[in-house]
Amino acid sequence: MSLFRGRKMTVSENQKRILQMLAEGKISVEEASRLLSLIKEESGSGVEGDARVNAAKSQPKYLYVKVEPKEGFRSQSEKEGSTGKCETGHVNIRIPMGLIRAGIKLKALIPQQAADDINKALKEKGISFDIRDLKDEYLESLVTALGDSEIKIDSREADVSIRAE
Amino acid sequence: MKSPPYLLKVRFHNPDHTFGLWLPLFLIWPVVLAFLLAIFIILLPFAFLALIFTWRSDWFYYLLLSVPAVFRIFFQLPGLKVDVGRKQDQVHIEFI
Repeated sequence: MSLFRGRKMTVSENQKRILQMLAEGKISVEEASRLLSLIKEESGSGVEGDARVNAAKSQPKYLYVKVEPKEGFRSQSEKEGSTGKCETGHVNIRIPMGLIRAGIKLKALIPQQAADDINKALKEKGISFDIRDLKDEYLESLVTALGDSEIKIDSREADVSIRAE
Repeated sequence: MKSPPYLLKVRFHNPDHTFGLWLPLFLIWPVVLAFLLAIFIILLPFAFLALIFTWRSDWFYYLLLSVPAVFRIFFQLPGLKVDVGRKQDQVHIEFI
């Protein structure tokens, strides 16, 4: 069993050693088969474990939402002061992911009537979605997708960027 | 284990006034906790009565579930930062 203790030893090296021991007659065919299957299991769990550790490390902690008015609009609003017509403002929000997850869990506390009202309002806006169907997995998928990229919306008045870090 | 927010930083700014405040939540937190517990204990018999006489168990359910939900949200607040500005008015809120 000491064969499996050395993590640095690769799977193929272990397999070779087992086959060598079998060829030398040190172990039987059944034992070799059992050891080989154990190596397979160990390598499988090792890969899964590493993947889990990497996922935990790369898990974003915050969601950033930034709305930055474009240069022309910014200077226009500064010139116009409080009496101007330009309504573009800046927004810079950092939301902890844990807070979003906790917020999603609040859906369990939405009374039936309120949930119906929300769904009705969403439908009026053209979004056909049942608020009670909101699941943690949706957020996790969104966060994973955001971890690799950044959403950028380039509008006439402002730049909007959403990213997770 | 997440810790509750220790400080709340609030800043309002406009051309006429600027107002900034560092609110020590670690001092308020025990008072709020005691207050919430008191409210919960006071409401608990009423919730039981409502459950017994009206059989409307949903109220009791919401009351029971809302307490941990509020605490969960409160404990996730550190790190939340909101910085919003429009024209020359600015609002900055940060939980530390």
